[in-house]
Amino acid sequence: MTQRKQVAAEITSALAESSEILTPGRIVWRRFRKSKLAVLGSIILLFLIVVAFAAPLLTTHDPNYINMGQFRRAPSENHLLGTDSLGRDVWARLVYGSRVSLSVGLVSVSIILLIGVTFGSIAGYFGGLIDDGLMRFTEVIMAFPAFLFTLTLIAALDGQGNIFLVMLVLGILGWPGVARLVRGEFLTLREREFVLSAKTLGASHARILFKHILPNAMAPVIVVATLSIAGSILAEAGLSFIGMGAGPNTPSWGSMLSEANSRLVLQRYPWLWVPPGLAILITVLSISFVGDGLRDALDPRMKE
Amino acid sequence: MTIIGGRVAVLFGGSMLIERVFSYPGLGLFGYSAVMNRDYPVLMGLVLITATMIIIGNLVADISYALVDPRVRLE
Repeated sequence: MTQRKQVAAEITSALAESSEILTPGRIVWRRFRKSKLAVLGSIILLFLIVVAFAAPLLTTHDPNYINMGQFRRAPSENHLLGTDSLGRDVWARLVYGSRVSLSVGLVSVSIILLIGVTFGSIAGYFGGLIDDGLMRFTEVIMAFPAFLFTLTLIAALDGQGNIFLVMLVLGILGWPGVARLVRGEFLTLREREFVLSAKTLGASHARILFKHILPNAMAPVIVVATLSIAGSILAEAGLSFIGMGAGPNTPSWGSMLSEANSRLVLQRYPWLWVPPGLAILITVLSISFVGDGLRDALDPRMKE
Repeated sequence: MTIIGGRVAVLFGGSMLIERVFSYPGLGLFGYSAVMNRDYPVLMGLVLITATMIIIGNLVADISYALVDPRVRLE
């Protein structure tokens, strides 16, 4: 009741401000705009997505072209950020690396959502034995040391240098958090009156699940999904850094960063590791800002 | 506190990266070299040990809930 009153007050005050009609989407958008960091983060993210799509237009160099005659050259007008230890253009690798990082984030989070939402909603909706069984399984997955297990899986499947395997493994190990969250949402939502009324009207399980409960449980899931994109990008960078993620032929920020493993490079050739490091930092930071902004915007209990 | 319990896993993952960078001999570097040499028995042992540590971490977190919050009672 208090929630409804708050929303009503919000709507009337907003109506006084502007004459536009406030749909829930517009309320969220208005709140999201209020957070400067979130807006900044989404602008940077949009920019990164454009860069990833327009990579061939931004550089004339092939990111994998090895030129041993020109290794570790300082930045010049031909090589904007210099060349790395194999004579490859750092700027080209950086630009193409954004494709790798963003797709790792998106693909692994899609897998996380697919498994997590399915498990969570089935467990939360049906409850009882099904719930117990699924949740114990979730806890087993949760107890695995994620990083070590990811490394082991990649090594065991012999997928060194296979970036798709990295996406897959990050996806199948990352879902327990989402499953728990969705289950929690379902547990509270299934007791609500609108679900009871749908049941009384004879709606099928599938209809109640997909049409009535799932849309209401989506808000926190969107937030967690956004934040786990950042987590996946970081994990990929870490894996590539120790040489178990993207292979040498895939330009990835993590594998570029692994050049800094050598002390000589660290001290004397900063253009080899500063750009990818900054790129990872900025990407992950802006995704986190967007996630935080979304959390505040999507929560109906937040005060203006 | 739930977060601290869950951090144990991240701790082990982080130790792998850091020990490899500074070649500091610890469980992390041990695990890394085991992965690189496909030494599966060692890996299984390591996963088992870390998983146990994570579970203990979660248990400690759960128990300390009861200590901190009087509304939660241990049965």
